[in-house]
Amino acid sequence: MKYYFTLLISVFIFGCNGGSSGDASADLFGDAITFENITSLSNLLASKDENIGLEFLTEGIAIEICQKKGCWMDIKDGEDVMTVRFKDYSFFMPKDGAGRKATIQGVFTKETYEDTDEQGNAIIQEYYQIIASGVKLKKSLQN
Amino acid sequence: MIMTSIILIIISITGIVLIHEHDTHFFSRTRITTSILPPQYQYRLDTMRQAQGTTSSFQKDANSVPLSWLMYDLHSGTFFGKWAWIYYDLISVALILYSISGIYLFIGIMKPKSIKKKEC
Repeated sequence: MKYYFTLLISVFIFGCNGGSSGDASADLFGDAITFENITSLSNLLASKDENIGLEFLTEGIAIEICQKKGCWMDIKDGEDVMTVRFKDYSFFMPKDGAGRKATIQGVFTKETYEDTDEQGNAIIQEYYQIIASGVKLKKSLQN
Repeated sequence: MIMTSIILIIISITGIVLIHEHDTHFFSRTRITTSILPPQYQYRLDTMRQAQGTTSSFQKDANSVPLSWLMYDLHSGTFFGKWAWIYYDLISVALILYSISGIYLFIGIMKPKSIKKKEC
């Protein structure tokens, strides 16, 4: 019985790899990052409508992370800010991840929603976001 | 009674898994095909993909849901239907009562009893 217990504990310990990506300085969430060339946020946003539905590798500093569950984060690259959500909500960011550099592989999408303007008229708002399939988050804070 | 024990085991295991979801890649990368799950999972996945605007992307994942969905549903009871939460609540309340009564009994045992002198 104790051998089974030892085996179970060993499997658990070795199964937990700390979310590392093989790169000791970063944590990897979701799928492995397969893209090599980084597209900056400014390039992504420069031709927004052409990039919708395409998959990219981009990076930025995580400036805000959902404090309820870690289900979204805002990244900033220069002056550009972008919201990142995660494919099928299959993984989440650590809530204390703000300030860390994030490398994100995902799809660029456009969302629309109904809103009201100052006069109370219904208007259609649109915003752009990245649906990430994989995120590499540096362990150290970026200044 | 056996059903309650099985559900308690499920709640405990899924609880451990959810606590350690950031410690391993296994649960964030593993997906389960919707063909072996209740039909509402495919509907939920389609709705999610539509909401995220990824219906034409990530095609290899179009018919599989993240393992974490299943873990949350098993842990919260929603996997067993919309009324399962009542059973989960009853189990939880019973566990709280068992714990309180256990503490009460333990304190009762530990309390030094007054020794009565035998009357001659």
